[in-house]
Amino acid sequence: MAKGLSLMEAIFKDQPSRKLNKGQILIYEGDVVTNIYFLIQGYVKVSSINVNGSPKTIIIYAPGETFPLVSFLSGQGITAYSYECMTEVELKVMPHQLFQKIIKGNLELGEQLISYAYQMSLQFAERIEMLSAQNARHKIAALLNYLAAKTGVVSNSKTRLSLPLTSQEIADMCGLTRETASVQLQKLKKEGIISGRRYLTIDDRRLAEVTGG
Amino acid sequence: MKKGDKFQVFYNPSGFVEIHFSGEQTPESVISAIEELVSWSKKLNAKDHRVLILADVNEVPKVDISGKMAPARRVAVSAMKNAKYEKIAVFGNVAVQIMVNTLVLIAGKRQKIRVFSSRVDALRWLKA
Repeated sequence: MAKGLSLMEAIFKDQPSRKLNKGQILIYEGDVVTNIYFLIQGYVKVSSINVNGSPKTIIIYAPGETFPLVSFLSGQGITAYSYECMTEVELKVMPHQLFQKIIKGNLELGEQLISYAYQMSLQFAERIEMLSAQNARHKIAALLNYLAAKTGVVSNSKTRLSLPLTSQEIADMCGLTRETASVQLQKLKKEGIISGRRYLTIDDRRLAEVTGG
Repeated sequence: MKKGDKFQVFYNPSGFVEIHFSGEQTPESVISAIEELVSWSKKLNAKDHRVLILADVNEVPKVDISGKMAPARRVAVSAMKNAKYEKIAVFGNVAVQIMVNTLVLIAGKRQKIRVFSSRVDALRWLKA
């Protein structure tokens, strides 16, 4: 492994990189996994479509993460979700055949892959449970907690999200209408739990009181 | 399966060896199960029978991905590489699928071992 690089960074080091625009779809639901991606810059959201046809964001991939490993390593290698760029994105691309070749005979890498993919599958499960179980306020609070851990920069017990978000995007990530999400966000702002417009800043201690964390 | 048994292996008259895992597994139980499957494969090969294996991992409540199970994973990879068999179909939850599929990739046996979420899908592929 090259010094100072994470395992995945080292694996993808010599692969070609691609730049994609915001809104570009990288993988469609039902696609066979043909490439594995390592995210260098930007954010990619993983969504499904509700029965009423509206999108629901399950999780977000941040720089340094690899996908779609859970789909690749579970079932028959078919993606159950769509992957869309939330911002401008730069990533490294590796054909799945090459990825398989690198893993072959490499138990140490395999052990790390199992651990990484397992943690990602837990993230999927937690987010799906959160989306189905709680009221609007808790859904948004749990999402902010998730985004803080995934994209936040901490300073003086407050976390600033590095990902710019609209009310519509927050609504999609919670399975809510934009109107409901806006009302809840306004309430959280009035209570001083969040501040800012597109780049939200979160008071971690006060948010923990809402999420029960 | 007797109470306390962590796995059971038998020959299904439909033409394949069937193994059922039950409850939380230990490195010893997994290694013992693999050894039993290897023994079945030797017996069937000796009689010139096809070696098809169906592994049911649905009744394992928690998949232990910790280092404690690493010896069992090493034995699994070695058996996947060295044992003589035609096909192995495994079915279980997502955690099982991730773990087994990764081991299959390490062993380089993706054509001969497949992982499914249901018994029906596993059987369809195994008997095709």
